[in-house]
Amino acid sequence: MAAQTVDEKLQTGKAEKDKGNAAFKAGQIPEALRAYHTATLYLTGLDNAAMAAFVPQNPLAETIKAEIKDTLKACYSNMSACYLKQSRPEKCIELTAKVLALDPNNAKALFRRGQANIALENEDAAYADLLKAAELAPQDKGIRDALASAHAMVKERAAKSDAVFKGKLL
Amino acid sequence: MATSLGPLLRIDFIASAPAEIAIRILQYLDAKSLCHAAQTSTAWRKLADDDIIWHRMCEQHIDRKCKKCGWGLPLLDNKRKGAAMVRKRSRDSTNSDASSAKKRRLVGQASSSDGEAEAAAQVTPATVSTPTKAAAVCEMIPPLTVPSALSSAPATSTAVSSPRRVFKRPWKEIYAERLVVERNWRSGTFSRTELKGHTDSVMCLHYSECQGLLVTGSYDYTIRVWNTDTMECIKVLTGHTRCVRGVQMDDTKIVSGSMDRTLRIWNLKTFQCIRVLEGHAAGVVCLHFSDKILASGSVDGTIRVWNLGAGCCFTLCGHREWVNKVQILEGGKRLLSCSDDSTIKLWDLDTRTELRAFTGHVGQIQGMHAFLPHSPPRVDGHTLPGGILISGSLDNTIKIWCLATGVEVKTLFGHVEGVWCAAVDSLRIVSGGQDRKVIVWDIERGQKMYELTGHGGAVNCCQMTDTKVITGGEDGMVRIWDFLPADLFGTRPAASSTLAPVSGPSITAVE
Amino acid sequence: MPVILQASDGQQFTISKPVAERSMLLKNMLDDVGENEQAIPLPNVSGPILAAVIEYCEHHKDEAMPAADEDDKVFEASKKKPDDIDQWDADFMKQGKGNEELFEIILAANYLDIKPLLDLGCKTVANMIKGKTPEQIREMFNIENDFTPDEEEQIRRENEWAADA
Repeated sequence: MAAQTVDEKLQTGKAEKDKGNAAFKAGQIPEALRAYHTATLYLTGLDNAAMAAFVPQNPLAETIKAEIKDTLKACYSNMSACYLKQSRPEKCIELTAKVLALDPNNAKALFRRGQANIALENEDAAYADLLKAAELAPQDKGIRDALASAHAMVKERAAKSDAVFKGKLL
Repeated sequence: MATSLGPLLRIDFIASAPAEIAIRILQYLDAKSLCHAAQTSTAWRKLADDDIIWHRMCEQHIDRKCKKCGWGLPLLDNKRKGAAMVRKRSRDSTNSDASSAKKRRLVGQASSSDGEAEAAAQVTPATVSTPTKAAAVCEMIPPLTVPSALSSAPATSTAVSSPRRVFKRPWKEIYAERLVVERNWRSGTFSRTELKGHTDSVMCLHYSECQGLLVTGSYDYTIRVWNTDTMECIKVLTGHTRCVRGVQMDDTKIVSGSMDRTLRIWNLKTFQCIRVLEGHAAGVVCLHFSDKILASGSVDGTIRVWNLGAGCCFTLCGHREWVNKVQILEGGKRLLSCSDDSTIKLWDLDTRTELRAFTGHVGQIQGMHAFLPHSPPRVDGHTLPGGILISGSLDNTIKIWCLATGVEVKTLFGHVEGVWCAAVDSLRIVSGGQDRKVIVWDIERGQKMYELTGHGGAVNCCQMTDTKVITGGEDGMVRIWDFLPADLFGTRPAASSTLAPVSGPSITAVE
Repeated sequence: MPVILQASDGQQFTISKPVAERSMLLKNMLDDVGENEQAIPLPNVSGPILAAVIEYCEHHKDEAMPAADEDDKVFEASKKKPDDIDQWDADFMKQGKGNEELFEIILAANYLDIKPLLDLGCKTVANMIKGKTPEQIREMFNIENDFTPDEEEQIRRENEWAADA
């Protein structure tokens, strides 16, 4: 079996991503994750010239590079959604970080990371992420609701610590 | 293991691999190999010069040599240089040759982090006890911020102006500079500049690196202010009616003490004398100020401690002879003094009592300096908690003391006549004597490294910074010995200084 | 349950879970997906290289794994002795491996996220560069000198300070 060309790998990657999306919609989260993992196996490491040199292929066109990047981003993003569904906020944060490394202004990723941080009770981090997400996607109600939650958490904590200190000072 | 890849795969791996991998590989290299790698091609150069790599190199070296001070060249030095550029910009309306030469070495992107600029301004040491503050910020800090070469602020702004735009200096440059300076210190390679102007013996001096200013006091009753970038005397202050024995400056004022029994405070901008402090019953031999506290020692053995803010003063008695040097420690809590009575005394300024006397010298103690770094210095196998104190005496010796215990740790022999002055930092001691020699000593080994010769008479006063030794002597001359090469990267021809620098390999080097 | 890996050329390898988990990439996947008989496709690693990587992982399978955030500490610790490479590791990198294999192993270690192997590969390449003149480095790594003679001279002067370092 000959090694696949970059183009073929890209197509396989996209196909796996679609499989993952279908599984996610059907509520089969582990299956979805497997598909997304497989997709990333095809797509990562493709976007560098050295890798390309070891594969029978000419230097990657910019359009292909962009497509690889977008597909990867989608995979990571959807994986983070899976982790949220499975109540694994730490993994969610790990994956959203990968998305943001590729696209720092990705509102969805910030949103999901915010949600994960809320689950972990990191109010300040959550608030910061959700604030930025809301700025980037002002129409999104989900983000606004989550932001309100985070804000409430921050206020509550501030009130609690005020009370503690009030008790301590004379 | 056969390869399925043919001869066409002779690629330039480093250039085509992802940058993180290339940098990961290069990070294992030493400085020399990195510099060779930088010479191979454009792509390799970009990677081999990367800030990430050189930042790590700097950190690594600090770990090996000294936890806080690296090669004895705290990063602070570069910050001070940066601050120097700030003040220079505000002082001159046109760019001088020297500063534009410095500018050419600085590359980088503009950044708007005023926070860093603030930090740079704050660590300006205001007093002779520079080492204390220098040590406190010896950790690795982000590359210095230097004002933009092009946006010069108008000359009317005050000396301490914060830069509008800032450059970051590449870590490779910082590493190179530190390496070369330390190499020069060890081999005794320097360029020497002589400042001529005083018509009689130079008795005292104070150099402020961040301001690029040097102030000297002389037997000719005057004080001279020198610009050390242009190496010119910019002002002669007259007013004292006897020899000027002590001088110090900060960013707003110069304080001087004279055998005419007075201390004078001069405005650093207008050079007017704004205050004359009277009260000493005999000549003032030395002074030191730290923040609002000013201490002065006198011929009659007393020390006066002035609070410049509150305008009050008290006297410490105890020495039986001339008090030759005073140094305020710990921001005004303690004071050190040395005297012709062969002792050094440590005083508590809150209780105004004597805490300890350091005895051991058998001659008048003329020079004294205490250095309190973050991590306890090591001398000749001893660790000295609380810092290091050195003294130079007319018994021809220099002694090293443990500040905390008062114990004499080491005696340095080398001068063949009396020692008039001495200074210490984390790595070295420098001393000047009646024998016209300036000697540089290695603290850790407790040994003489080499001598700097050139003075035509006794060496009366000295100061040491990370890159320089400054001395003043009986022949009326001030000499600056600079261990930082003017042209580190071969980017331009010889230095543009108006005075011909004298380069020298070590003179009378010692194994 | 054993893990089956399939390289880009179709070659399949069966390894134990602990060995597979030396690769953080595979570990993450196995954690999420559970045990399963399906082969995991590794389309960006060729058969021979994957064999070499597996050989490395087999040998090191009983060692402690560096924690994810310990990268810097591990790096610093290993950096203090850059020439201190384990004998087995040194032989592993040398035997029957030319430059191309070396590079491919580095890329594979990066792809599979096996930090110790990545570090080993990088150290090995670094040792090839160490102590060489620019001309020697160019020859060894097939670098094209794209400087003009003037540029070359200027850059040489800029780097002269390190000559006695």
